[in-house]
Amino acid sequence: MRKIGMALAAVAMAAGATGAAWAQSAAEKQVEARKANFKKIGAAMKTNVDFVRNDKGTAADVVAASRTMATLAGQIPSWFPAGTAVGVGKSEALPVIWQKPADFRAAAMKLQTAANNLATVAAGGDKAAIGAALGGVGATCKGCHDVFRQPD
Amino acid sequence: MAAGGTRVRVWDGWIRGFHWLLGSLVAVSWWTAEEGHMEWHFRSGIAIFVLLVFRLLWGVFGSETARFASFLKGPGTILAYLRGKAPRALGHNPLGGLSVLALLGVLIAQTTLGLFAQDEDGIYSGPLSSLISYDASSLAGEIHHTLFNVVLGLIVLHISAITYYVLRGDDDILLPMITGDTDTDLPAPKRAPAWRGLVALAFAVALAAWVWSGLKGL
Ligand code: HEC
Ligand code: HEM
Repeated sequence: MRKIGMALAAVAMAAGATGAAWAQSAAEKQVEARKANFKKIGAAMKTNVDFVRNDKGTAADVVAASRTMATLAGQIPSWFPAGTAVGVGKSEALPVIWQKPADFRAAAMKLQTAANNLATVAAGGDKAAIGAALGGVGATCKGCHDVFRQPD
Repeated sequence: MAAGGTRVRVWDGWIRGFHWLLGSLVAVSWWTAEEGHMEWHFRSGIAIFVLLVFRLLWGVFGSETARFASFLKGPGTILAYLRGKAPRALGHNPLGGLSVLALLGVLIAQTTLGLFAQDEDGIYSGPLSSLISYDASSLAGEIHHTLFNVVLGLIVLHISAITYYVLRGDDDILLPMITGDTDTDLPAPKRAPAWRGLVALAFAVALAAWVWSGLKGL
């Protein structure tokens, strides 16, 4: 009887550990996936900067990259399920994201608005105006990172 | 150098200007990066680029004590110097020559990486980052960040060595980098004419301007 009890306890513990490990890796996967998404936003940023500063590519590339940015911006809040703050994997997401969800959502919407504006301005092709609109986008990235992302 | 003898110029104005400007601008680069004043970080960085290009040219065409050939010595000479058996000479001692090589080398690497670097957000980026991919530019940024610790380490070593010579008191090493002169019975080192300095500087500025434009026309 005792042997069976111990065996059962061992199985239960193993199952519990596996479950925890699985939950852990699911959260870690979330973090990895959203970092990959933010990298896409970063790459779109680079496309825009390269055009404004170094004449690389065309205004049409900026339009496309800005649309990508705006679409991804709309998804940002959904990339942050509970239990994926700093401490999980390589997350740099501060707990304040879950304490002030409305502010976080508003910060994401600011990016979406600025990116849509950049797409519209870029379609017009005026380089100086594109540069100014791009500055507006950069400010929304910084605005969110300063509050919701762990500083290095 | 032993006191007495005649006053000779060991370091010309170009070398002294280079030296103190470089030191100040490395401090500016560090401070501006730390505080996030990236526009100033870029200006300071490109000015360092000008200085480094000038120094490489001056190491070949410049005054005697500035030339690499005059102070880069083989291991035999360095060992002899450490045992106190090297002939006396003006300018960098054989060990100091190594330190110059290391400092210039790591600063050239740091500056080159900076030109290609971006912060991972792609908001701030060096003028040559548009030539490479997002990932490569982020990587350059990371190495640029990490390599700065090596820069700091070498600077600490450099200042410690100078402090040691000054405290030991028998080597007039600090003042000549300020006034340019030392008292010695050794013959004065040869000095390059001023026009060569101007040409080297003009070349360095032109190259920097082209780099700053993202190598336009390439
Ligand atoms: C609504 C807030 C918000 C906005 C707006 C925002 N970010 Fe972020 N960003 C975050 C948070 C939070 C993280 C940290 C995620 C993590 O580490 O799990 C992050 C991380 C990143 C990362 C790092 C990814 C990695 O691999 O570590 C990049 C790159 C990035 N953002 C780029 C941008 C750019 C470019 C913009 C503007 C165009 C932007 N972000 C706008 C919140 C935001
Ligand atoms: C020897 C000269 C230089 C020194 C000592 C230096 C120092 C630094 C330091 C310490 C950082 C890290 C800041 C931080 O992340 O906290 C940094 C970042 C950066 N520097 Fe430089 N820098 C130099 C030259 C340059 C040059 C020439 C450029 C380009 C014009 C440049 C572009 C950048 C960029 C884009 C970053 C952001 C990268 C990142 O945060 O990962 N730097 N620099």
